[in-house]
Amino acid sequence: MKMVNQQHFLKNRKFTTWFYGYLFIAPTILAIIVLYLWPMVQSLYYSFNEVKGFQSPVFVGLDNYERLIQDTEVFGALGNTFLYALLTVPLGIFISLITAVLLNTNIKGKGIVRTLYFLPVVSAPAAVALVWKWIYNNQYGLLNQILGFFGIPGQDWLGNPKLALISIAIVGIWSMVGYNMIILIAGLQDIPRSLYESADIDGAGPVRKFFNITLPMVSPTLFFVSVTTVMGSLQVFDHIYMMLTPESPSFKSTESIVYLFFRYTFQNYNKGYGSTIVIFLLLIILALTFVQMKLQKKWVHYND
Amino acid sequence: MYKKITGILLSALMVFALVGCNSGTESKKEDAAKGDKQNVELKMFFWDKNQEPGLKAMADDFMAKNPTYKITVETIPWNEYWTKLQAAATGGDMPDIVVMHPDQVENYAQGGMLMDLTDMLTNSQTANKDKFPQYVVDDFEVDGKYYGVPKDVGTLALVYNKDLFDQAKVPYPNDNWTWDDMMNAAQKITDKSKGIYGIAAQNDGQNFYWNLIWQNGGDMFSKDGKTSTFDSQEAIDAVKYGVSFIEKGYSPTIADFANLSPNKYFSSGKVGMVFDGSWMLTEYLAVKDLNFDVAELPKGKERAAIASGMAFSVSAKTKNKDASLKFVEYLGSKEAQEIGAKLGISIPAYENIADPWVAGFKTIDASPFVKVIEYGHRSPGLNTSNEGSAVVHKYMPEVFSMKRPVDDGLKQIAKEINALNK
Repeated sequence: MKMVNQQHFLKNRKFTTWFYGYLFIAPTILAIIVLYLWPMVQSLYYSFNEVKGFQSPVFVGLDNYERLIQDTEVFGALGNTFLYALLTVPLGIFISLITAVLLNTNIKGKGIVRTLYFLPVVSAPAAVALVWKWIYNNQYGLLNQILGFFGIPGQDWLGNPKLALISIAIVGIWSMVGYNMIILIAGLQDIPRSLYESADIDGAGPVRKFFNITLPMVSPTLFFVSVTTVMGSLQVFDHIYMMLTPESPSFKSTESIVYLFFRYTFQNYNKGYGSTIVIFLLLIILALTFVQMKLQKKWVHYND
Repeated sequence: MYKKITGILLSALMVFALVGCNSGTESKKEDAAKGDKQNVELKMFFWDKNQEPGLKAMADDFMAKNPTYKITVETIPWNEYWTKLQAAATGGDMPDIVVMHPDQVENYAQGGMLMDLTDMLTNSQTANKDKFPQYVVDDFEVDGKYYGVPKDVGTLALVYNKDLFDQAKVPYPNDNWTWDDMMNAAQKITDKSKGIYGIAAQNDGQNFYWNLIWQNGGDMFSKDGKTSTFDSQEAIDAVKYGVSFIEKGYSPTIADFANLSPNKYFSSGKVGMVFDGSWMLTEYLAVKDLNFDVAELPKGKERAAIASGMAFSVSAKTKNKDASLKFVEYLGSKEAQEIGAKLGISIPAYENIADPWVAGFKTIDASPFVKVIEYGHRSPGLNTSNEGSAVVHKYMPEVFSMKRPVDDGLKQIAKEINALNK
């Protein structure tokens, strides 16, 4: 009799704990379903339909996908997007890690420096783009002034098709370092001090300590950062949209896949094809993330 | 793992149930908006900050005459306007009254987003369609029904910097100007050492080369609108003329415009001439020490410039149908459009009342903008709202940066647009 009671009580308690747990995460889960999951399902549905203007979807099967496979513009944009990712991801993560390590030491005013690094993350993209447009300006820009001071001829950062994507990538890196740095600092602070202390006793130098302790121990965080950064860089849109116009000579060499999605969906009123483009990007990101998941066994070090 | 997922879904369902219980209070608001007896709230969207005072003045005048109405005017920048409006319309949250663009009206009307205003425009005493230029009325006609009360006419003219003309000792542009005159003036004004250019030859249809093509007797599309005639000899020669300003160095390159917009070039006194719209005058007048005036665009084989009207449209899903109709009827009346005209916001669409608009400018002669109404061309509907514009954006930057011969570029454009329309 007693036993049964106790079991019942335990079950009940378990249920309440679970219930409250889910209750607390419900708002987030709900937001994810409404703002991410549902639109994703909708995009998938639209991609098999012709959706012109405000009219109801008309089922067209795989027509949109057929068009996509033959669309040179999509592959051009994909090329630009990959190039952007190649320019921003490795360099961006490297800079984030270095700043994180440096700002994890006990230097004076590190709070202020961290804040400064984090500022780009919280600034409005429109304001960021405006300021950078002035920095890059070919005649009065700050960047060319500085280069001129060292006797380097000024460049047309935004007007030259060969440079425009690099210019956008610089802004991209500058925007993401702060966010990644904060996450990496959190990862670094999880590393037990005792490891470093024993390394000191063994006479390891700072470089050795970095490669033998810091890097392996922070690798799970680094893995998270690299996955999210790859996703983010493949979705580059706002800086391009704000800094260049379709009339500009360098636009075609910076147009990204999300820009194409935006153009078809919101400007050309062709939601069906726009959705197809974005599903295509989703598949690419899924594939890349899968590869990263497989590769993590090679370099990510979990100590559990 | 599966337990976790079911747990998540269950908790989500619970919250949904909670939300569901809460949606009963909405219907009370709707009852308040019926009839003229109670207060009616209307919302209007527009994209031009410069015109906000004018629209607000009209709304205020209407509210003074109809105390039960409360009208709010919201300005959304042009770059975001159509994206926002599309989202609002799709979500069933479109404002009662919106300003419509001739290139966009078809999408909204065919999508069932706009109220049919044919009855009002044919029977109204104040906002009758006979009172407006025929082409503006027709621009907002879709499948035989009218969806817009004409608001204003936007036209293009030559805006020029008087100081730069004086420095180069070039006589000001006049009504007899030809293409050659414009080229000569551009040559004389250009001063590389000071970074001053004669003209802003921009890669922009509305603000540059469409006008040249029309002036050369050509067009972008055939009369029935079905075939692209970008590859006609008239169009090719016109664009060649336009690009030659850049080739000869009389205009900043389009890479320069990627850094600084043509408007900014002009307002900072670095460019002698720019093709610009009547809607830009208030902005240029606000620039200190900018000494400028207006002339008609030069004559090619014929006089031509773009003239496109905007209109007020009503949301098909408005909760205040009668009130909205009453308000747009007022907006299309002579008294309302005169209020706007006096504030210099734009050339009113209402017949024979452009004079107060011109008279509103004390330092410049804005009449060339009004003359365009006689010979204006309608927008070819080649804007971002259709895929033809994407084709233009693919080749025109190459043409304007001299990377692709003009005839080759225009032939490609015509070919691809025609392939799209098949």
